[in-house]
Parts: sequence; C-alpha cells; structure tokens
Amino acid sequence: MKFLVRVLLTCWLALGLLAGPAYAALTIEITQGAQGALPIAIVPFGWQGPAPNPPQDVASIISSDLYRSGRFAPVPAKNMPEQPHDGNQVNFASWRAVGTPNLVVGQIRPTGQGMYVVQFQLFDVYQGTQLTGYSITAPASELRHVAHHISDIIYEKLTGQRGAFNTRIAYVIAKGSRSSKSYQVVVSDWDGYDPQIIVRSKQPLMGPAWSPHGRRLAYVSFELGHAQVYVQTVATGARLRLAQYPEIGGAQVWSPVWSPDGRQLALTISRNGNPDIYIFNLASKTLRRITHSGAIDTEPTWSPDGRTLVFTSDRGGSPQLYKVSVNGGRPQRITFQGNYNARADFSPDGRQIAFVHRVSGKFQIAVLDLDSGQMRVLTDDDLDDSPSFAPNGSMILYASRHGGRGVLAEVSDDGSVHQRLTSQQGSLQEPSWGPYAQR
Amino acid sequence: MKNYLKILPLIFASLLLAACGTTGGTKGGAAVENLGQQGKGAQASGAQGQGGYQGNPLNNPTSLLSKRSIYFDFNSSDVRSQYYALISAHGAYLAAHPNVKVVLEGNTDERGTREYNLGLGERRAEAVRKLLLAQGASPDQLKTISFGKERPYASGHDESAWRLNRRVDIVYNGQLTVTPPISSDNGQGTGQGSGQGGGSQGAGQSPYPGGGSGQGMGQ
Repeated sequence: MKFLVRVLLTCWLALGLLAGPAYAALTIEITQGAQGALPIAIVPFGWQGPAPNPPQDVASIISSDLYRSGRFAPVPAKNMPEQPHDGNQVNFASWRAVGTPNLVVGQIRPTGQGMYVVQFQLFDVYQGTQLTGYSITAPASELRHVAHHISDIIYEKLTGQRGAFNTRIAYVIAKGSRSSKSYQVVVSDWDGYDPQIIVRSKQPLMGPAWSPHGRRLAYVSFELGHAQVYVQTVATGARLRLAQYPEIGGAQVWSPVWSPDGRQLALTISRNGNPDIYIFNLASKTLRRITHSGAIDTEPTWSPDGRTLVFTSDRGGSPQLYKVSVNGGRPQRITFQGNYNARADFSPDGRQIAFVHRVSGKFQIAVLDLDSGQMRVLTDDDLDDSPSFAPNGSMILYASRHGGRGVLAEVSDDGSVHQRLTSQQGSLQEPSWGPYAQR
Repeated sequence: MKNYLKILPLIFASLLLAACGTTGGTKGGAAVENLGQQGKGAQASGAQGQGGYQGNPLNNPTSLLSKRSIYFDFNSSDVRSQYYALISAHGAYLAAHPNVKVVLEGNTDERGTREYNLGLGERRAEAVRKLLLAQGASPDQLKTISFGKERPYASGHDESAWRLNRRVDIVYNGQLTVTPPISSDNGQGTGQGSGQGGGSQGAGQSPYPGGGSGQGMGQ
C-alpha cells in the first residue's frame, strides 16, 4: 500500500507541474443533509512545524468530504471531549461517552524542501482498536489531494465501498450577457477546487465527456458555426477535431460519450436534419451507424460492459429512453412513465440509469433500476439536466438552476443528501464526473 | 417524397390565402427588425430584372419575404399552417434565384435537456427545409443548423419568452433577421406555460450584436 501511495503521489506531482494558477473555486452549500448518518470525529490535525498553521486544514477537508457523501455526520470540534493527535493519547472511554463510534486523529510535519508528512489513524472507539493508518509524504500543493485520499481510505474502510473523493469533474461555465457571451470548459477537483480552463470560446461549448482513464475529454464546440466534437488531451491541451475525417465532415455532431475501453466514441450525427446515433472508432477512424430512424436519436450513454447504448429518441412521439446493442439492431424502449425522459447516464455497475424526467412541467433527475423497472425521482427542481454518476455510484452530479442562473448540484443515490455548487463568475452547466484517479 | 406529397395541398391552400391579400407582412408597421438594413445585407441578386421586382423584395417590408421566422409549439417540429404562406414565398424566391443560399437556424426554448434540444432545433430546421424544397428550392441552396436552446431571443423563463424562442430563422447572406410571430399565432396548443402577457422581460431585446429594438415582438 505504501508503494501505491508513492505511485499516486508521483501522478499528483506530474499533474501539479502542469497546473496553472488556481482561481476562485465553486461555493458549496449543503441544501439537505442526511438522516441517520454515521457519527465520526475527525480531530483537527496536529501541526509540528514552525509556522502558525499547516498549509492545508487536512482534517476539515476530510470532514467536508465525508459529510458531503451523506454517509457520515462529522462531530463539530467544539463537541469533542479531547483533541489528541496520536493514537497513544486517545481516551476511548471519553469518546464512547459521547456516542462517537469512529475517530480519526493525525498530524502534519514539515520535512524540509517544501515537503510534508501527513500521518493519520482511524479507530473503532468501542473496540479501542486501530482500523487503519498511514503516513503520506507530499508537497504543499498536493495536501488537498492527500486529504481526499485519506477520505477515500476512511470511507472504504467503514462502508466497504470505494471512495470517490480524489476525482475530478468537468463542466461548462457560460459568462456574460447575451450580446457578449463566452464559454469555458473547466476541469476541477470534485469539490470545485483547483479549477482549470481547458478551452474557451465565444460560441457555445457543451457536453464534456471524460475518457475512461481521465486523460482526455471529448466535448462539443460551435466555434466553426455549428456543433462539432473535439477530443482534447487534458494535460497537454492537444486537440483532435473529428470533422477532419471525411466520414464525419461537415455534419453536425454532438453528445460524445466514450466506450469503456476508450477506443470508440458514440455520437449524435445529423445530416439533413436527421440526428442518429453513430459509433466512431478513434483508432481505425471508421464510422458505424447504429440507429436509422427519422426521429431525433441523441444523448447516448454506454453501458459499463461495453455492449449496450441507451439513448433518447422521440420515435414514439415523445422523448423516451431506448436501449440498443452496440452492434445495432432494433432499439427497445425502457422508459414508460411520463412524456419526457432524456439524457441518461449509466451507473458504474450498469444496473441503473440516471436521467431527466419531466413531472408536471418540471425537469428532474430520476433513477431507473434496469432489472426491476422501478423509477425514483431524486430531485425537486425546475430544470435539471446532464446527470453524471460518481465513479463509485454513490452520488449523482447534475446541472440545475437556482436564482435564475445555472448551478451544479449533487444528490446521493438514495436522494437523501442534496448540495449545490455555484460560481460568481457565471452560469454552470453540463457537468461530468471523471473516473477514479489512476492507481 | 411521401412527406412532400402530404403537405402539397396545404401549401397550395396557403398560397391561395396569400394571394387573397394577407397583410401578414405589414401588420404592426415597424414590426420587422431587419438587420439586413445595415449595409451589406442587401445583396443585388434579387434586383436583376426578375419578375418585375422593384429593388430587392427581401428588403420590402410589405413582402412576405421580409418575414423570416417560423414559430413552433413546445417539443414539436410541426410547421403551423399560418407559416405555409411565408415559407412558400421564400421557396418561390429561392426557386427563382438559384444562386441565393440560405441557412435555416433551428432554436428551442429552454425547457428540456440541452442536447435533445439540439436535435429538436435540427428537426425544426429540417421541417422548414422540406417545405422549401417542395416549393422548388434546391438542396444546395439550403443548409440547416441547430442552436438548440443556446441562443434564446427572449431571456425570460415563462411562456411569453419561450414562444419567441421556439423558432426557425431563414437567414440570407448571414444576416439573422428575427421577425415576430404571425399574428394569428396566439400560442395555442402549447399549454405549458404560466400564461402570456406577463413577461415583458427580454421579449423586446435582441441578444444579437446590432440587433434592433425588436418592437412589436409582444402580443
């Protein structure tokens, strides 16, 4: 495990070198907290350096991560019976007395040359035993990622589910008034920190989609006057314009989504006003047409096993979701409730889809269990769009509207926890949750 | 082709209506917000002795050709019958001027998903394209583009804005000219919004650089 941590740190360092200066992050607001979340105490980490404070408040980042997951209720520091920094100092009886089953203590120590050691331990208070503990070395610029990594370790230890705190998201920010709009595709940490603009344009940008390893983003840009798909390497900015291939040419192309192996893109391509689903092979540069209707066929999502696409079509008279084999064939309708079901995203385990469902004139995020056919509406907003599962399936990130502008929002998969991410800089839209960091 | 056959009788009917002296192009006087007046909009192609036009009929505010926008019901790409005369006039003009090209820009209101709306705008543009083809325009004169919900004309969040954004614009020479709904269009059949009348917000303002006042865009 220590080795793994070291590999991870190397990756972070590489990313850090390419990162530009950070600007104001998104503002996160918990709009509804979970009932029955597990109490956990994350004691403020000790600081053994000369300066007044460590470069990052690691404990508060961990608390925020765990709180936002909806599974945990971090104990406020003022309610802690003691604030130890090392397992040897813990008085378990005092924690049992306040009914806190799990406890995290830790400390940060500078080792010179800008490096820091972050040490932490997770305890089962009732057993009085250590569940896990690590010591991680990193530069100041990576301490947020170290904190997210610790959150991942704690979350997995206590829930059995892999954490998704050390992940990134992509979204579009639209700025300015109608006569002078500008658009940016932004990549940031999952909590909105360290936002980096990867492309900007005066024409609309939309639909950023992460490649399976998180190295590339496909997105739609209107920079040449109509919708076209580009594939960009996140770290270098190198771009590929799909229209350069004669199979695609001047058609209008949008809603790119990657195959799980990263070799193909499913796309909407419209020639002569007829949008259909196609699959473009990035290696062989060949194009296969999957749907052949005269209706609107768009918004594909790829099943994690690579075999099936779910897409939106109005072939039955209203927008509904259909599934079709990646080899083509006859699409099969899968949504039957309501007259507007669109923009699906497969859950990482392939058993559910999240999508936009219209209820009494409002567009809300719903989840459909593909085996049982059971549907649950998770949100209560007016105009939700673009749902995107976290790589562990625990949360859904989506676009919403609040106070007349576009915001991002997250809801836990059980609908219990709601949070909103806003930016002073403009309207946020089209979010996409990236994959796990490479291990 | 089947589709064209289906609509042909409708088109003839609407041509008759047009011949019977509709004043759709002049209602409201200054209703037309014509960006084409700003210099390079007026291409000479229409003035070359074709059928006795005086000047360019595209810029004649009493001509149906000055009307460039076709409005739609929510989530629909069916062209309403009151727009057949307008489309027929443009189709006939294009047939008579084979060197003229137009772009059909499809737009939607803000409701629904962003990418499905790209498809919907595309279908709307295609619906207008088919009608123009049926009137004798040739395929290489017509190009469709969808902006989905990306370029709303009116910025409000109710039906008074939405009805203005569900639209195909016939764009000559790259000059976008948004014209108001034909007055017999009372937004029937949408049945979605919070009613009409309220939202003066945005309805009279053009988002486009150089856009005019847009007066007459209200009901």
